[in-house]
Amino acid sequence: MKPGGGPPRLPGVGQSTQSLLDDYAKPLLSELRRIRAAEAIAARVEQAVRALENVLHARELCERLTLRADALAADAELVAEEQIRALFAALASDAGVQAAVFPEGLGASLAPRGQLQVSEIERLLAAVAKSPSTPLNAAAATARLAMAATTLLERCSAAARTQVALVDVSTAEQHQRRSFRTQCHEAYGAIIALLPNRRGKVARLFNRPEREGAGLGLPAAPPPTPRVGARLAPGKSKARKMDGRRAR
Amino acid sequence: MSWWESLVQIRRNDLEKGSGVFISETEVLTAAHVVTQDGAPLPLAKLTMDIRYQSLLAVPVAVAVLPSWITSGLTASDIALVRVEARSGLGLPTVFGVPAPSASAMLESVGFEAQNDTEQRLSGSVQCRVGPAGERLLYSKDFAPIGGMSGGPVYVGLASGIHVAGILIRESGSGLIGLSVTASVLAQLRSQL
Repeated sequence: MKPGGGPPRLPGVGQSTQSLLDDYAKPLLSELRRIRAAEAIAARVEQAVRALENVLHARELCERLTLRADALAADAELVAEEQIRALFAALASDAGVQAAVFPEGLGASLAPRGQLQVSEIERLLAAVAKSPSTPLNAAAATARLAMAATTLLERCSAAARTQVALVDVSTAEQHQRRSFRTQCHEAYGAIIALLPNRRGKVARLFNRPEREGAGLGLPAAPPPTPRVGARLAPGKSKARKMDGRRAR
Repeated sequence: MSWWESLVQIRRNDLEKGSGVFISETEVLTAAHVVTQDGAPLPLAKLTMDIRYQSLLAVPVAVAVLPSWITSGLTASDIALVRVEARSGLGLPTVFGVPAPSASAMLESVGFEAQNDTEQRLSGSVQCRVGPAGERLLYSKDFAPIGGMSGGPVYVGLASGIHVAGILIRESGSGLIGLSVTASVLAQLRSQL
């Protein structure tokens, strides 16, 4: 195909948004800004680049907040487990009540995670309330457990909401990437119409940079290892190939 | 071009420091106590507004604070808008009423710590409570602003980009970490400029 004889070779869809911006979009934009009479085209591309950058930052933020929300939920879960243990210990003076509240033992009450942990705590609290007599020190433990359950519920809800937000923003990012590609194709057509005699140069401007591994963000492949079971030269052994160096 | 390039460190000639964020080419949102002394706006010459990630200084033109801040210094009105000479090429975040009243959201905040002048990011679940005069107060059990971060933005990532939910205010020990920025508060501040 002659240069400029077809659509430009845009970066692959597998390229990360950050790399798409750094390696392709921003250099392209700065080149477009240098073309006289193409200000309107450059402005449209700039708008697409900004939108892509905005949504990238929003997605990165959502990822950070999702991690943070998960960490906070995990912390709240640990606190809740501690309070379950405290309640179990507080009920130890009355084996009957303890068996009624923890019919399957402490381990069974500690096992659930997240929202299920909240449900288990609610069951424990209801069981304590139902029991005819509870040790005095169980009241404080129950109150602390109820507070821990409230916090855990809040944390789990926050974690769930951040996951939803992350999915929304990731979807928006994909949409913006498609919009950017569309904008590039449109800009390419418009610049070709503006500079019909410089199709080759315009094509080079819009084609993705030719780089090893570009588009995947992967490092260069390592050199191949020797074939397993390959014959060694006569008189040589694997041990001798170490040249006295020992693997550590 | 990135939104964080619109972060500002505000330094006063009495060596106090705060943070802020551009919300338009001519407006920096910050906390009122950062740009006032005893309720009254500081003389503009006493303020240095450093656009840290652009290595540029913004030139302040006017400071607007809410009347309730001047009269009573209420924490709930600790918000200010500084008009500066126009700065183009900033990636401006949108101001948005998040979280909704009585709701919670995971938010991040950023500001420049006074002691080391370094950027600090804090995040956690933030709850919006409505005050007696309708002001929206932001509470968090997960983080508290460090000295110098006052006025820095509290923000969230939505499908349309980064949105400023509010600003950080002075650490109070009560869990109050900031104020939500609503359209009415902004309109009130703009009318002062």
